[in-house]
Amino acid sequence: MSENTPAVLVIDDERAIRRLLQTSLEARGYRVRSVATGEAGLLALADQPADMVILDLGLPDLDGLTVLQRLREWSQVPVIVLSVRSDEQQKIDALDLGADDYLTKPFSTGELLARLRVAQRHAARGMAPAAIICTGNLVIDLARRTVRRNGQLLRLTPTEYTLLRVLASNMGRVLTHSMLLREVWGPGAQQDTKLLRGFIAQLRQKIEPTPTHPHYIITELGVGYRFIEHPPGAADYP
Amino acid sequence: MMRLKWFTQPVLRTPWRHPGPHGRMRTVLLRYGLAMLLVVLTSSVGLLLRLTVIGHVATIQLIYLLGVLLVAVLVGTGPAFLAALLSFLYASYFVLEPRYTFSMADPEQAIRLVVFLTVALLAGELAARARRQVAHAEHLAREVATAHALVESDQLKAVILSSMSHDLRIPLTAIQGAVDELTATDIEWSPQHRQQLLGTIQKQTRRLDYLVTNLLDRSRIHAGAVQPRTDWYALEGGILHTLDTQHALLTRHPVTLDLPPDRSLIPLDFVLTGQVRVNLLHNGVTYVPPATPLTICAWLTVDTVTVTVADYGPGIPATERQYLRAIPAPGCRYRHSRQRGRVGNLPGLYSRAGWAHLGRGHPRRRSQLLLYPAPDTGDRGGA
Repeated sequence: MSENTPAVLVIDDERAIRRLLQTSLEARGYRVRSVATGEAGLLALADQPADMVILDLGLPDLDGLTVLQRLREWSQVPVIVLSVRSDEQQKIDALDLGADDYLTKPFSTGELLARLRVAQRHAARGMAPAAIICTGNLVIDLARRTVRRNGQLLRLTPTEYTLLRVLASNMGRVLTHSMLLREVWGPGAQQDTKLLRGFIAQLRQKIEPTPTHPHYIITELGVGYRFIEHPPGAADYP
Repeated sequence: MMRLKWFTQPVLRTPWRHPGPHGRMRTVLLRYGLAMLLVVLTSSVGLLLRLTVIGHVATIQLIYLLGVLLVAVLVGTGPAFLAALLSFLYASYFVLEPRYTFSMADPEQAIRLVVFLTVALLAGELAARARRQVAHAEHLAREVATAHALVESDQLKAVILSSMSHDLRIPLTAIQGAVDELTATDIEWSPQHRQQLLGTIQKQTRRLDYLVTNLLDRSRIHAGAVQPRTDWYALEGGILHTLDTQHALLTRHPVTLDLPPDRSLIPLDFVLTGQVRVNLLHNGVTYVPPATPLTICAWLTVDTVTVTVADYGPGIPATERQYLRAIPAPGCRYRHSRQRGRVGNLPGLYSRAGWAHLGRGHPRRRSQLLLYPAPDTGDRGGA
């Protein structure tokens, strides 16, 4: 990993967006390189590695998904894709191809920075996840397989626990329906989103302060779910 | 030279051909005539056989039967009945002893007649059934083609929507990002940075306004809410006026004008055509490298004025040309274009297309100004 200033490569054909990202990210201490085409992006990355890539899916020369695919053949650099709201399938495809997260245009800078931080942290942590995950009033002890809320032990079924573990180990990241189904139920159940929805609802009943307004497990409409990080020990009712 | 080409919506259903009463009568007569001709033909063959090698009555009868079968299969049941009857009469009169008389005394004669008629009926029905199946299959094929056309038009709509959404979201994203930054509390922006962010907002708001205006114009044209108000203008004047108003856009692009020496006045809606010209110029400079030259070319024919804006840029990728070619404009389509890297500035294309449609609505107007992207002249070399 890099020293103190992480390097970001921006691949976007729009000059306005490139300039904006450059200004925003440089002000936060990132080193930013930006290119306008997918080919140039792949070359730039091969030329000089980056710590993170922001990739627009609507590029003029190569399809953004193709760029992602080719990049993933030799690099595990975290990639955040920029997409438009109308195309959920494109986001899912990008995530399945190995993108770490996505942002929908128009996005706020705050969102982008949060996504970058999460991607950076996951890349840094790599293969060694934390043994104890804390968010808000939840404490998940992966070694003991216990979940506590406000210090009280929660009774979860094995499947609920596995689902929570997968979500919490990817804190801050979006997980597609098929990723979750594959992780929790194995390769056979990847189409059964109804099953997943059922278990998410059960889990929310047990861990969320107000299950109708989820605080921890957020639905990414049409794509999947995201487990949100809150400051440890923060009150259940923000 | 590419011409603007009128096109109609894809033909979704070819109408069945219904002949009028006279036509139907003629068809029926033709079919029965054909049946008679075939009987004459079989008789001749029978006669020939009898005169040369084979004289056996049964063989000759078989020849007649074959004739009936042919008529039934080729022409239909009704004519086949006629052929059966005629064949029977011919055979009785010319072939069977005693010749040149009709003697129905022999009960075998009646059997022959029944056989002839049955063959005609069965074969005719079989052939008719086969024909119906063929027609049904053809009908199915047409239905499939219709469905295909619908799917294609759906795909086209999806492409256009996605392109439009892309075009609109870029300025929105830039504006939102810049506003977020200016209101962010974690950063103290330097005056230059602040100015740069404000500049982004200003520029992208203008861009958004331009896109939205074009989209609204297009909707109004489509809804028929805009009628062209034509007056007599010099073509050159209109083009020069547009160049004048858009000089800020063109500072980095040398423009060559190639206008006809004919300075006669033509009827056109100055405002609408002006909008079209602005869109073409915008497209011409937006998707090309800086300082790429532009050529504006115009020529007149008897009833059309054509204006092209060629940008000598990289052109539209082959994969997207098909969509451009098939823009579902109400009146016309653009065959080739060197403009734009993506599926066009669609509001621009739309307003051009819509406008051309307006021109088309008045076929008796002496001249129409049709504007469209310049022909694709790859051999002239890009950039």
